[in-house]
Amino acid sequence: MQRSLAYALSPAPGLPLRFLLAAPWFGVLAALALLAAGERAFVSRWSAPTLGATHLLTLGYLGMAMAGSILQLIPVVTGAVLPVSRAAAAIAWGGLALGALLLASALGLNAAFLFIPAALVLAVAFAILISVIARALLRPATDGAMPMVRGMRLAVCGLVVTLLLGVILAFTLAGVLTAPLLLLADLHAAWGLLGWVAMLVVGVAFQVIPMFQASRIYPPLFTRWGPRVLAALLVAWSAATATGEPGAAFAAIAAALLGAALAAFAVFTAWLLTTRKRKEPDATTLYWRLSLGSLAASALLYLPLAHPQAALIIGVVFIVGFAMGAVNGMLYKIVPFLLWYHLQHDQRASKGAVPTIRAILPDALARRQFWWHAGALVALLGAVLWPGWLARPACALLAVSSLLLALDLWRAAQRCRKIKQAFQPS
Amino acid sequence: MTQPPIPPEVFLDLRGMFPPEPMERVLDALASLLAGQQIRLLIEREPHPLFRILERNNYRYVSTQPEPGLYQIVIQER
Repeated sequence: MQRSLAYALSPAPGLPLRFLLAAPWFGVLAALALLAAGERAFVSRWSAPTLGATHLLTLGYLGMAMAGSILQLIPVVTGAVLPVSRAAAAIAWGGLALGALLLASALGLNAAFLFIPAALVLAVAFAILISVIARALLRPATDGAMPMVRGMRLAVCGLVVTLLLGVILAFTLAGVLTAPLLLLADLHAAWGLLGWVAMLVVGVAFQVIPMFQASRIYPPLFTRWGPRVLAALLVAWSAATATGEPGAAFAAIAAALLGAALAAFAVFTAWLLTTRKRKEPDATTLYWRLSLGSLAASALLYLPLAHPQAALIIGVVFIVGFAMGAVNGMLYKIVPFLLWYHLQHDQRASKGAVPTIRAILPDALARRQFWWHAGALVALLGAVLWPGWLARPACALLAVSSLLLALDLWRAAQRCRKIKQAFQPS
Repeated sequence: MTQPPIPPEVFLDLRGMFPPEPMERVLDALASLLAGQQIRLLIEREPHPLFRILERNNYRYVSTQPEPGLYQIVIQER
């Protein structure tokens, strides 16, 4: 039986997938870069290989995955059509990939001449992405979509601040500008990790925790004010930090409140997960638990940790535990869903020819990758404390977990490509 | 003169289901919908991808929110 329904796909099928499938390969690259550096990568957050690998993770891995997820979620949740041409999408994808590689090389290999090309390429890629996303987010949305839309609007503002600070840093490191490097780097990291990454995860969680975990919904008070409180605290912290010594006490209070707000989000969401209507957890549930636990841990560690490696420990817990945890889980959910959706909506598909989502990407594969990632997180934390013993094994574990993720998603896409080819009339 | 029969209704309770099961259920119900029948469904979020499919395939739908976090969609052929 030929399906008779016509489907309006927005955006075009390959657009978000192109970003989502590329993302984990940057995780593999980051792990290999850390593996090559060994102990040197765990000396301080300022060491060259650490900075290079961090940007492969944040720009390459998280940037690609978050861009793809946003491009997919906005039309599904709000009904808005994304105004993006194939050419513009290809330039944004290529620019993000190339820019991440250039910037990581500039930082990791001390190649100062690459900073300005990296900044320019990334500026073009993000200008395209942000203009597309911002236009869709500025349209009025229904009540049900507003929790996610509010969080995404503020997250995009956080991304813009992060990028502006990043471009100033790149021009400073290239020797073209003179600016207070350490202060700008702290502000850039805070806006990137809290204003962009954490804000986006919070906004997306408002939508996907009830949708994909079949839990209770977040209370309206929480979704209305949570992102605004986070943004206000981040602005207050930044202003106090920028004033230097006079604002130090105020900055410490703002930082403590920010940590408390994020910890409260993590604890409340973990409680929501206990209200799941289906009790058996899938790999995405495991990943949410890891991610939320890591968010609460990094917020709580921020205050009492006087260890000289405190910044590295918190960075590992936040980026590898919280951010990668949330994104890995989402990739295992969104990619097979998108592949299924596009097969299902192929006019030539006969009933019964489209496999189930579980057959496209079995949960057992996602669970296997989860345990490798969790192992890598624990080993990386050990490597911060005992780099001589654990640096290389920990990076090897991260490389394996990232490679498994990349291959699982790629094989699922290949499987669906073959099924789609079988739809072609012979 | 006899009263026209009240169109029978296909009711789908899609609460607590993971995507894409709700969409699959609605598509299957649309495929077997008889003339004059309507579908009424309950779901916890507004199914925008479904709305686009309905609009392009000559179905009309009414979406209401009986309570926060719950949507009722009634679908009929035009």
